[in-house]
Amino acid sequence: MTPPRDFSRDATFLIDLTKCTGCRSCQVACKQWNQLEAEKTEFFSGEGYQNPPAMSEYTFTRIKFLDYSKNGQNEFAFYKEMCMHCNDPACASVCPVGAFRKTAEGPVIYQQELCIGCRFCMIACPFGIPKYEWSKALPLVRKCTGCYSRVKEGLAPACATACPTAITYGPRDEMLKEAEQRLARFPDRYISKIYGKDEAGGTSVLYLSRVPFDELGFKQVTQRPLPEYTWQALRLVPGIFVTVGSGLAAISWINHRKDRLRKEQEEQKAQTNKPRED
Amino acid sequence: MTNHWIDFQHADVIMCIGCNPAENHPISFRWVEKAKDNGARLISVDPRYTRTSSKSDTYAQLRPGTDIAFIGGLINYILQNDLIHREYVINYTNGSFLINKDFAFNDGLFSGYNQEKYSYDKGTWAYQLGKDGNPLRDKSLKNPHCVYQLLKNHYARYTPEKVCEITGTPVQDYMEVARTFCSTGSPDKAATILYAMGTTQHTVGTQNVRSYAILQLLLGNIGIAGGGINALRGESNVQGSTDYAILFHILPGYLNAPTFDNTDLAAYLEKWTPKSNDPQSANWWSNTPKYMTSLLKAFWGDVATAENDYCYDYLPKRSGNYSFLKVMERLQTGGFEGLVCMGTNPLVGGPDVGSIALGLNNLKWLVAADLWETETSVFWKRPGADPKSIPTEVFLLPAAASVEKEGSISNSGRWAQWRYKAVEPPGDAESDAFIVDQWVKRLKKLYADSGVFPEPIVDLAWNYGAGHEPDIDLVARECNGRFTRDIVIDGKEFKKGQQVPSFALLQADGSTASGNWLYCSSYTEAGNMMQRRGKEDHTGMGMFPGWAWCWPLNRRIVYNRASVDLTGKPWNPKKPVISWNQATNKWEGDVPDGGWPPMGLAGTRYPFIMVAEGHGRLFAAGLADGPFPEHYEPMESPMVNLMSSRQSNPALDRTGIIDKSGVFYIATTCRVSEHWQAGAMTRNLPWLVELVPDMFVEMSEELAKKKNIANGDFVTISSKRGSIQARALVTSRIKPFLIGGKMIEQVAIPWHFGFNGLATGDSANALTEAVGDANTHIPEYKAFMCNIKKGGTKV
Repeated sequence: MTPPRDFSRDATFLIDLTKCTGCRSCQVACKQWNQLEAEKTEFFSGEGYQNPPAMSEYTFTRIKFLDYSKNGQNEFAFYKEMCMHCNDPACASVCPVGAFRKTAEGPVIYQQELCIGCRFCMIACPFGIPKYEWSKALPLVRKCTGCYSRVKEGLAPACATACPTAITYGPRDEMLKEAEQRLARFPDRYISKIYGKDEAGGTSVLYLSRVPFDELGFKQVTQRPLPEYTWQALRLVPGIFVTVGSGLAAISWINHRKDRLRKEQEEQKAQTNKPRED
Repeated sequence: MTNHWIDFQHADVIMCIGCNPAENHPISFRWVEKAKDNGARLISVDPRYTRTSSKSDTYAQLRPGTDIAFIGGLINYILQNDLIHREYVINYTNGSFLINKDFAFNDGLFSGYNQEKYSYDKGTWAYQLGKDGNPLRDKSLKNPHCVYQLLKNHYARYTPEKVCEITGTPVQDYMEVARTFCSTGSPDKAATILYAMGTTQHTVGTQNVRSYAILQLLLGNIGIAGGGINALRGESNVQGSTDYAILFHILPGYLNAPTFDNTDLAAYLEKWTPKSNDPQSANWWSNTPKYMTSLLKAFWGDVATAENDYCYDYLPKRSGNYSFLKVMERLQTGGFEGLVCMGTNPLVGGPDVGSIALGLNNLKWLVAADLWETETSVFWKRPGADPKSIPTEVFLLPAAASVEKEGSISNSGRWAQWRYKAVEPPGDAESDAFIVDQWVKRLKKLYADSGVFPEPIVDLAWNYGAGHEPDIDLVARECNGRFTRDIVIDGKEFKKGQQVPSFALLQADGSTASGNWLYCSSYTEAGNMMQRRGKEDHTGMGMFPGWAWCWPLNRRIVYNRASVDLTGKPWNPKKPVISWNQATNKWEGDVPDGGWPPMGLAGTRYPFIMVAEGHGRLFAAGLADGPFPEHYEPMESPMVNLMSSRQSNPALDRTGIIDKSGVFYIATTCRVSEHWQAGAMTRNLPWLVELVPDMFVEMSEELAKKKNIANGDFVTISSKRGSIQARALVTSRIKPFLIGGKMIEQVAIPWHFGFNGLATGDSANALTEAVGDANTHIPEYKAFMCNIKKGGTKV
């Protein structure tokens, strides 16, 4: 496995959930930019005003609400679900056709024209992000593009641009620095952790929160890059392929030797038993 | 607002009461968050735990309609603990002024009450005057008739225990609010109050705001950075609409609309121009003749001359209350042939929409100008209506959206920012300017040789170019004002047609014309100031004087002469608004609220220039229901008034009811970020409908359990006016109130829904009552009673 490249200048989101008011500008901006359909919803799906029920081929980002009372204290909090644009993405690692790619700028993009709809990425992603086009006859996988076409032009992603309060966007090292500064300046305001700094080996989406991350619905994810896990097995595949393949071929050759020899003898007998023509 | 959005970052304490800015002003809320990053504490006072509450340091539950009790208790806390900014109160407020010895307050009534007329004879609500005609004062604040002592006496009844019994606020939360907010009387501390419809939409709404004024004046928080009383306006240009007098009782620039007994211009000016004998009082409304005359010149141009009173006779004269409530009332008694609704949807936004619907049936014709087919525009096919029985002819004029036309929009902070046309309006849609221009041009033609009293229309000066629609540039120039002839003022020459540089130069002799004196200096000879986008800020206080233009005269914080001591030194040198430079004898910083020297020097003026006495009014005699706010219960209330035996506002012609049935709960209306006002714009946008698709009502877990209602169940909510169906949203953010020793439940009802559009639902306003504030007549949307039952009306 090649050593990881330097991610410190990658375009990165810093999402300060203590500043998020759950207004959903991000959800709408994403749909507008990507021209995604509105989903048919009824009432709300989850706590608070949460909608739609889950991310999907039509919903690349979603605000999850937390609305409950603990020890007589109300909790009304908001968490922006989105693709984490991992430094070493599992989706790219498992995709058999190389449809996913971690760009030099930061976003993890995918090329739909390469996708074969095998859904390995859906199984591999520890954050459960890639979504399947269940509605289509020839279904492919869809996810947040990191607004790569915007990023290449020097613009921030649609959601980051629309967000009035919570999202800051910039190089990863600067976003980390900003996050550390906020944690230092307001220790009572935050859980002392930057989610995404080390998760899955580090991601391009960093979160700060007051509410414990697991309460908000963040997944506990290993700090090893996911491909490292699969790499242990995957890197052996060619070797196993050759070894096991040749081994099986050898066994087969050995198993069928008796048959081959018998066949040779029978052919010889047939030849000797054939009437001679003088 | 007295201050402006960007200024919020300078506050040490922000109290959001009667508003929910994280919900409804999410972009501007970043300035509240900036304040918190600067160390500010955020207090959220609300019946529900809202999005704003979730960002607050202190949340205090408040029963709808009890703001005066809540604030009264804070006023009492300040006075009992001597937390006032003393120098400020003595020098800048009327706290030291002596009041008529016969002024009194007893059991809910001020002196002079007339029970038959539901109104006050305000004779005793007056200052004691000296021989010079100026109010007598006691700067030691000890005289029993001085405002300060009367105030102290009035609010002595508002103890924390009594207040919390009325408001339902847990005492420890209340005391935390008191300690935090009332600590800002010290000169280096600033607190600001943000408010909106939760404050104003009550039968005591005006007095609610008055209570904030008293609170802030006592603490010395008006005129300073991070201070003030800041109304969060609910539409992008409602500030502009009130500045330009889209209200029955005013003319552009908040001049008074004439009443029938103002028989000529002299009588009008005599009645409405305040007088002061104090040379230190700027008494800025004494300039009324200049502004009124200039306005008349703008309306009727060269036809308006001194000889004909500048066409004063052409102005309609009012004889009473023509507020929205009254209009809707008259609609129901068949009082109108026709109605024009421009960007307004009474069938969803008005109180008691069931009655409004019946009123609309009576119209001969209705014109609706809107971006969407609003419920009002299709009132004749509302659920339950029989179109065949409704004779009204309805015209729908498709209107252009804000990005499809050019003009200024004035934000809550009084900043008028110019907007440009980005795209053409779709189909036949036209700008409001086009629509009004067409009406005027066609009416002028029709009245040209017939009609009763055609002159006001025929003589109307209407010169906005020959284009498809009025040249907005010409309109903006006229609103600023120009010289109608060559003139010399204080040695300076001005030519006919030149833009007037400042309202200080507007004249009462017809030599100036101005469509709105407040906007004078918005479009000078240098150009359209509202178009500016300068990002430099020499003040360092977020004022950005080169960005757009605000009234008055681009002054960012009004009453800023109160932000300095008598020598002109800022109370808080770390956050200066203005400061007097003794070397140059000039003010530095923001545009001073009057360039006169500080109070300690000759030629000075008092800071509160818009009132005749020049001092901030702790005691304010100008309102219908009292010079001091007093707690009265909403018109529909679950309990008796614990403060006095007057159940409801005595200045209204009916008495509030007390519901003790236990069947009805406290109801309030509310909003969500995802929908806007009466919903025509947002309920037709799929991406927003996806977020909030259905009408819902928020209720407590306790009430849900009691009624066996699960989250998402259909429920029926009913009041004396009608019934609606909604989905139940069961949440711990809604809690019952402990008031008068009893637990009373509450429900919160978003009012965005109506029967037309992509997303439809019943309207909350089917439940509200058509009763309004005693001064402004704004309906009491925010406090009423309703019942809730499991099961919908239609399911």
